[in-house]
Amino acid sequence: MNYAKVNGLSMRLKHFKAKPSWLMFSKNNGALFGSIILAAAVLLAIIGPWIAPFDPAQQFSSRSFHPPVWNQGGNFTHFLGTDDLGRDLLSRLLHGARLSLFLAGFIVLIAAGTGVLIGAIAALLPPLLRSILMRIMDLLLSLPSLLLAIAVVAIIGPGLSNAVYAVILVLIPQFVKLTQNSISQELCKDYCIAAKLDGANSIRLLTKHVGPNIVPAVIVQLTFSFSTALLDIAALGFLGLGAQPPLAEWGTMLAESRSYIQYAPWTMALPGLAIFLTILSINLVGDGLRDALDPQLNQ
Amino acid sequence: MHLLHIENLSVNFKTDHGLVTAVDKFKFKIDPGQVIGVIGESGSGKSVMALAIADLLSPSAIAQADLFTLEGQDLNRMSPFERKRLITDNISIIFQDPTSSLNPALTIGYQLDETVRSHGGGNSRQCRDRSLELLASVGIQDAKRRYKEYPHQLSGGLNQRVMIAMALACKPKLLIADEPTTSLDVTVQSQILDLLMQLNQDLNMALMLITHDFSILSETSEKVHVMYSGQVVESAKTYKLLTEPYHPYTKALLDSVPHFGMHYKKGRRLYNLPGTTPPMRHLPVGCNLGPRCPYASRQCVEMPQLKSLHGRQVRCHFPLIEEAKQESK
Amino acid sequence: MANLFKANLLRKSYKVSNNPFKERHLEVLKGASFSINPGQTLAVVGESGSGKSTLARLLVGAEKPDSGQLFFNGENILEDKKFPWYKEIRMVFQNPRTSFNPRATIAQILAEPLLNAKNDNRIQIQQKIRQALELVGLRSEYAERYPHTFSGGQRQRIAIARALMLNPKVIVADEPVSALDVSVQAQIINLLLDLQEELQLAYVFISHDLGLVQHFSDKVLVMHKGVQEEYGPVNQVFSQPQSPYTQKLLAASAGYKKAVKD
Repeated sequence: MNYAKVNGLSMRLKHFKAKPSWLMFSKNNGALFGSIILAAAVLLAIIGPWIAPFDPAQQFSSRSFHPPVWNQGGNFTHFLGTDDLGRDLLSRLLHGARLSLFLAGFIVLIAAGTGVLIGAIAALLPPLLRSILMRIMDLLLSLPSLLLAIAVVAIIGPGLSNAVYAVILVLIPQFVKLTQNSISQELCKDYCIAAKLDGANSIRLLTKHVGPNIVPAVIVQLTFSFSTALLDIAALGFLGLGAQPPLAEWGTMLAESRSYIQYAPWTMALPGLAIFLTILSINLVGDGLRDALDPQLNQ
Repeated sequence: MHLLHIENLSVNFKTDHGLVTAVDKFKFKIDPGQVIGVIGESGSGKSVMALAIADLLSPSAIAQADLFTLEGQDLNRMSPFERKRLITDNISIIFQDPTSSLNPALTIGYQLDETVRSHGGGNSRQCRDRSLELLASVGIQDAKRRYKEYPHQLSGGLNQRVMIAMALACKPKLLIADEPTTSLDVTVQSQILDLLMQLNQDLNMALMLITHDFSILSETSEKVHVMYSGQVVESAKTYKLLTEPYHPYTKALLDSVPHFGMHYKKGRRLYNLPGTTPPMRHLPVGCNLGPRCPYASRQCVEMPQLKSLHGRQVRCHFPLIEEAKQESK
Repeated sequence: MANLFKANLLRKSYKVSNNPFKERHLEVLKGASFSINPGQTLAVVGESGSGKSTLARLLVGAEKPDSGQLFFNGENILEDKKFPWYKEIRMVFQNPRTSFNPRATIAQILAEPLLNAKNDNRIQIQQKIRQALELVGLRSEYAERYPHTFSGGQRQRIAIARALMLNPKVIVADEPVSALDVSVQAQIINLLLDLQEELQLAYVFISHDLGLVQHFSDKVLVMHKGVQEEYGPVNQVFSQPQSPYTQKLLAASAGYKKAVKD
């Protein structure tokens, strides 16, 4: 080995070319598992109504509390059993998937989009206006989210779409606070001062420099909010302020079956399991995304 | 009899990439009241070595030594519990950043009392008296007021004094000072060194000074060990090392720093080694300094051994003296 | 002829209490003045809390002083709202770990000032990035990598490249080597000296290391608790220090001497 030729700078450096993010993502077993479940859930939500054996609102009054197939007395007609009114659970779950998943997804995306936008604008405001805006957000956050949602529904009237607006409104302050906090933290860091000294204006500073660095925090909040949205919608439905009874919706199904937990545990366990798996998969996907977007873990 | 005698201390870390050697066959002897310096850059393993001696390594590290005696007692033959007790009773360590070594939520006095109590300080009254005595002994004026204060109310220099007071609580026979003045201002730096030297004389406490800065070793330590990527590359009496380094790395350390008071021609370039310290996972073949060394040749693909030369130890095939070059031929 | 870069009695204070009824200000800089010309280096020396980093931020336009003037080529740039600081006066930060966006590649980091100046097309930008990397002794392939894959010394080279992108006249370096190992320190200092000779840059070099300052600079400004203690040519200040603080600082920096016991 001829040392004279070995430049100190090129010494034994591994080739550090960044791998594409999806490669990193696909190496993460948890994220892969999560995305498979999520994909399955979305697929079922889309084709659910066509493969469902029965109408979700159809009541087989003679077959109420029919047990699922693996329980004693179960059969393949009602694969997952029936609920108190004799409605087929499998059909209800499949129909409910569409409503629950898309509602929660819609709510979270709209809330996150609006919240992040307001948070970013807040960061650009003069200190006094920013303080006022942030104190309003604190006020909204200090109320229990469900109570706030009920209050909003009480004002604009019950119904599924109004419940959706209410939950969006409840979720926005979290995103505003998170965005504004992260932005103000990032702005103090050396690299932001450096970017400012490179001549970047405020808009460019926020979108090009700070933006990518707060995405991980927003993704984590997004996955949390998804479950909150699902459960809040359910709670509103339970109180009769959201999804109205014959409509199949996971949260509402869970809430309705609460009183039969001892007699017919499956009526509660199955929607619960569906919600659990969806939220788990979204959390796993969120974690995987966060890691995949971090160049420091991406070697 | 040596106070501390270590032969071939090696520290390995268990990592995802297998075992990584942080300290390789470190030899060290220190007598009561002696001051010995260890110098090296970041990543040279000097701090890990200090932690290994003080028995403070994390569980992922494996430390082994052929010989490890403290006051003639063989620590290798003791149970971990006994060893821990013997070490904590005799060896204290202070770190670079005093402010982060102290708990910000507790008063100086509370933290000192805790340390005093764990070294058999008696009841709370006695602990308090001993703490105040310790604060006074490290040159803190109005110790009673400082006793009630929190770390953030004290300057960096005062916090370092508090750390030294804590280290003195067990009446140690050896104090390991790991970069004790690096985070302090120059004017405070000399005060802390004064204090350490004075404690060394008054208490006959041996001192191991770990640093990256030759200027604080020249008047303090008797001997210096120079470390590079986990190995000792040269050890010698301080003044000999400073006046005539044998190892190319020692020379680079000395010459790459412009010394205050020397009048250089304006625009003179500093002597330097290209590149940076190699990461422990990717050490070069042969001599660790090889790819950076201006004197390296074909022979350097073989790892040089530490050999004695004019009363010093050098790890180099081509020490920077004429006679040695002729001998090796 | 007017000096290239001249500061006159810069002062800066910060608000330390948020109570609107009890406004408290802490004055961290109490009048700093100096002047430098192309190819010259001014060293600002002081201990922590001396206000030297505040001075650096004022000089690059990151903050505005409470009073005082700052002249660039004879023009008072504090009154000129449209002065393009980022084209003329650039900064090198102390900590090479935090001064880069962790999610941007080296090419993106180096392109930033060029994009803001809006003078070049994409191909010219690519070319300038390559040139800048070679100028600071790095290979141009490094442009596609992220900052965390580099060692501290290499990052500081990239920081210098970023500062040089728009051919500035003045570089303010806030302790550019104090976070680096000694052998790497020398590489960066040599690089700065090479660049100064080649490009006739004026440096404001903020440091606490007097050995480095003596070796590196023409003029020196000694600061202590926000007050300018002494200002003059390096040789003069270091050989005949006038203020007691400078004397103390010089004595402490001349290497540690064992206290003489009576």
